[in-house]
Amino acid sequence: MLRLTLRNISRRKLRFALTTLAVVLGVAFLSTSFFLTDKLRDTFDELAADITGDLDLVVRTSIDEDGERINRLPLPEDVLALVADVPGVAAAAPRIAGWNVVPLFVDDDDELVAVPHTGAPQLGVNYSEIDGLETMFVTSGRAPQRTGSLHDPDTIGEFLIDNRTADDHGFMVGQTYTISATSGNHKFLLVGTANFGDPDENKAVGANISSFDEDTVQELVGREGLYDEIAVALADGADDAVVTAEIQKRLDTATAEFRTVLAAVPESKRGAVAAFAEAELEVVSAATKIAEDKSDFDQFISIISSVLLGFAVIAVLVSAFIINNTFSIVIGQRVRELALLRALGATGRQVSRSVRLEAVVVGIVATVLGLVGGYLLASLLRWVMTMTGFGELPGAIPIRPRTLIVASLIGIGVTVASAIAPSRRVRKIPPVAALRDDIRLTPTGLRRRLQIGSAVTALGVGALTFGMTVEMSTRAILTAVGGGALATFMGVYLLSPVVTRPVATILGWPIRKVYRVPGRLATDNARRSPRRTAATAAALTIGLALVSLAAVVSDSIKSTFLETLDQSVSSDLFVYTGTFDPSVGFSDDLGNDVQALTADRPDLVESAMTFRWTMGGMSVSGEGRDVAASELDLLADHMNIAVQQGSEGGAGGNGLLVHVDPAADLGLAIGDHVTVDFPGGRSTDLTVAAIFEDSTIMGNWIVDVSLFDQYLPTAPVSFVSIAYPLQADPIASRAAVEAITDAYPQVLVEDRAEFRESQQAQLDQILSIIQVFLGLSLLIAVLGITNTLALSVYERTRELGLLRAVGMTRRQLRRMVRWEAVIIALFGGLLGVGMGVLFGLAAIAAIPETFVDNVSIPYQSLLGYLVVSGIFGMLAAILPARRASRLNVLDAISHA
Amino acid sequence: MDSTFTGTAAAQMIGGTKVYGDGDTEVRALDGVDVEFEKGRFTAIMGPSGSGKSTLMHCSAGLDDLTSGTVNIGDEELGRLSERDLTLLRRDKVGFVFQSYNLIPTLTAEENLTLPLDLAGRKPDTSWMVEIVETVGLQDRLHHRPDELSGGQQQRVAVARALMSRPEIVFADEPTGNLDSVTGGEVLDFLRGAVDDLGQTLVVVTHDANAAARADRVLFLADGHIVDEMTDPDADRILDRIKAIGG
Repeated sequence: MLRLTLRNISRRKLRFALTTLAVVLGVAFLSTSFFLTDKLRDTFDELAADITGDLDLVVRTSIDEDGERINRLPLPEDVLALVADVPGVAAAAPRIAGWNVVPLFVDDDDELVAVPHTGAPQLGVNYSEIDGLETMFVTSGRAPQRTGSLHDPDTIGEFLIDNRTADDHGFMVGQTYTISATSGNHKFLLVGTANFGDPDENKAVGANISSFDEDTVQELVGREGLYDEIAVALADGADDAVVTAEIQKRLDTATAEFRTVLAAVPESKRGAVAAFAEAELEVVSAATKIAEDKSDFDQFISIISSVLLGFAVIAVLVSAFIINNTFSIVIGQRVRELALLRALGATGRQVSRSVRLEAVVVGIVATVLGLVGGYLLASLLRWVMTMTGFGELPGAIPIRPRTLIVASLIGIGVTVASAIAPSRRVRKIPPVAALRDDIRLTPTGLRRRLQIGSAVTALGVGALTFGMTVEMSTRAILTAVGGGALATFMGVYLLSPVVTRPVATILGWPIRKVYRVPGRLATDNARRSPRRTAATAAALTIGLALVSLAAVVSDSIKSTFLETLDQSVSSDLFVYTGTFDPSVGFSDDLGNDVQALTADRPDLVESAMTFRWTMGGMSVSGEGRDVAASELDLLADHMNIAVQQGSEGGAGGNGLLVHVDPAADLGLAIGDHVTVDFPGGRSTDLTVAAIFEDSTIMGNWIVDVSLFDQYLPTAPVSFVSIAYPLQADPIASRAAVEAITDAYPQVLVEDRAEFRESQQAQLDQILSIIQVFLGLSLLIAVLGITNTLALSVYERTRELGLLRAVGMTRRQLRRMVRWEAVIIALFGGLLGVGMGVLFGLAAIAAIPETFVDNVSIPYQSLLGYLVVSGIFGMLAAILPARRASRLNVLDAISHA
Repeated sequence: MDSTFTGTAAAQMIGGTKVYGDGDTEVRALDGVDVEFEKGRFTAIMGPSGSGKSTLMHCSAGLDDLTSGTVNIGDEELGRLSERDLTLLRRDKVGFVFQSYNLIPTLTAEENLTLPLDLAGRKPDTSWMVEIVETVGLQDRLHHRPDELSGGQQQRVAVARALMSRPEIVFADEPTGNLDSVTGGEVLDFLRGAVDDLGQTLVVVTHDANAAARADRVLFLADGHIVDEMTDPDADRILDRIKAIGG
């Protein structure tokens, strides 16, 4: 039987290839997502180890278990002496790493530009040569020296830059550059280039790293008298635990002493440093630090990995439909051949087994090819990532057993599972079928399918409705909506053969009008086997449902956001970095200078408000909250957050504005005192000054900017909102602001219309990325149509021969096949777009109102998707149509 | 044998040779055949399996090309036509009836009937259609699909279709091969009627002496040659002749 099976495969190469290809693509996408994720994880795990270097212990301020590490406070530099002194410590090196250190350079067009922010941080670090604790390894030039204080505007400092940034943007040792940092813009001489993390290889991944001497970088990133952490190397033979305990003991004693002293100082005279000195200090092992960094990176990797995996799952699902359909058709075509085997004495079971055996062979071959394809695709994506500046991922892509096992299970599993139903049906083929033309395999009756399909659809729609209307937690809603969508899809798939005929008739109407006989036959062929048409279309339906879902949701988000922007924002000009990443910001100088304009030129600028925010920066009732800060007195001039009770200004530095939802959850009312916790174990009391309704732009928790200076100093100003006086000439006002911002090429200056447009463009860009990925699943679906058509053409060889004999031209024949494909594709497209819109509406109901309130259906795009699906149908038909038209008439007529 | 070519031929083949394969495997299916099919006459082609009778029909009808020699239908020389023109010629000037699988399963009997005309974008001549439909007795079957028709009815639809476009010539390849003798006899009656009543030119390839006996003239093929010819045949004489040829 095995030999017969293999013979069978080798003789029907085309059919085998078509069957295999669908599985190959599914497995390829799946394994690509594994390969790429593993490579990313390896790279970042390595990076975590590189950042930490050869140190043994790290001393730093503490932070809540679930706090964002970006909010960690620096520690006073006095602590260094305390630590270095401990027996068993061989060396202790201070580490300073400030974000938003942006080197500027003059580009080919003679314009001052900033090294672009690509997602990875732009860091300024201290240069240290303490043995074993270095982070930068000079490869050309020399180490940076202290040349003077940055407070002296005439000082030209010295810096090193990492090799990749130097290469990418043409930085030349010996030239002077401006570096824009949180402390403002300063001039520096580039004295050398360096590798980060490793003497021989730059491990900076995507980051841009500049390095300075300790005092200079402290001034540059606002850490005067402060370090971010202290790296400790232990002496040979020193006991880890003993040294750790001793350091911690000394830290605790020192903190307690300092607090006693501080308590005697009047609050007004304590100054900003006192805030840092209050912080709790801790010492942790290198392993802890590496693990923390890994888990930080993991958040980022797992986003990419789940996105990739999501698309891979879609690809596998689409392939499953295609492979299942292909098997059904192929078995149908082989009835006579299988009946002959039965007539010659093969048992039903043997025949059935041979079909499954064939599926196993297809599955194995497809899995192997898919893995190879996946590896190539992953390499290609890596190359694209390097080319687009995302960052390099050097070294071999790892091949993990997990990848091989999962790919094999899915590849072979899906194939064999697809063959089970057809192989069951094969058992019932009577031997007499070998001699007769008219025996067909009868799959489950349509009525049964109708019953099951209706039940499943009803269940799905029920779950969707439940999720859309009943008030539940967001997770419960998403579960109901997600499950409902899946069930609805399966139900509609089961039901779709029932509507195939009428829908095909309607879709075919214009085609029949224009192309008459070929159009008529195209429609008839699409109607001929409703199951086949429905199953073929289903692959396209999945992709289009998802694309339409994404389009509806993103259009609605866009509409909601733009409406909020129009209604709640009243300022005229915005200065920002182009991203809303809270760790990306710019110098306080910029905000201060723009604010100074309100005094200097009140005719041009009426008010300027700065904006800072951070994730999980403030803990209320034991839960980390995203918190934003502005000059509360100015807030009402710039935006309308729909205050329900109280008022924005007036409460001063301790005022707290809360959104109605958390206020209701926590039972907060105007005038209540709320104790909030900040990183470093510090807390303070705030007073609820207002309860508001619109959280779209500022989020749920808003405090005064002065609070950030004290408790969240690492969060930079990331946004400046500017309002003009009523009579001002907007051009002159803008020019005045731009005269200040010109020195900061890393920021964007946009008026309302431009800001609106760029936000719209960002949302559109996200949508188009989603569409490209989903487009890949459409590609597989196209293959599915090609597959079905090729098999149909083969099946109808005699009929095609007859048509040719009685005078159908090749062109008419091609037309017939092409329009059949278009009808199938449009059928799939209609179902997909219809379900996509339904799912989109459900998703909008499920997503919190803050993100989506308006419902906006992008009719043009949806129509476009239908047109695209029609075009995909045409593309899918090219090869089968050509094959059909080239059939030799005589051979075709005598085809058995 | 010698044939005198007259202007009354609907189709003719001169020096028709068809060779399959080459070297040791070479088969000469037709070997210098000269033949003409006169207008308004019913010609039967007989011969044992492998005699070349189907090849003769295929080449005469423009379904296959000759290795050498020429074929004319009306005043068109098939060898000079492009693939497309050949298709149009089949559509407009030739009618076909095959042994089985003559009809497009998705079309009704009527639609199958008018298929070549529809392909050409022409309106069927209604009175002609009525006449043909009556002749083959399909009035009440027109809106049925092929799988709702008996084998004999299907063949009658095929005959009617072949006649619809008033072709120069109708070729039928074993038109009764799949039918029982009664039904086959009916189909032959219609074919005969088409010649007598409608003046149609008809060429039938058959191995059935009774079918051939309905023809005006019978050609006997063996090893790619026309070995004999009989006019006004009857079944007994045909059988005798076949025995003589050794078929």
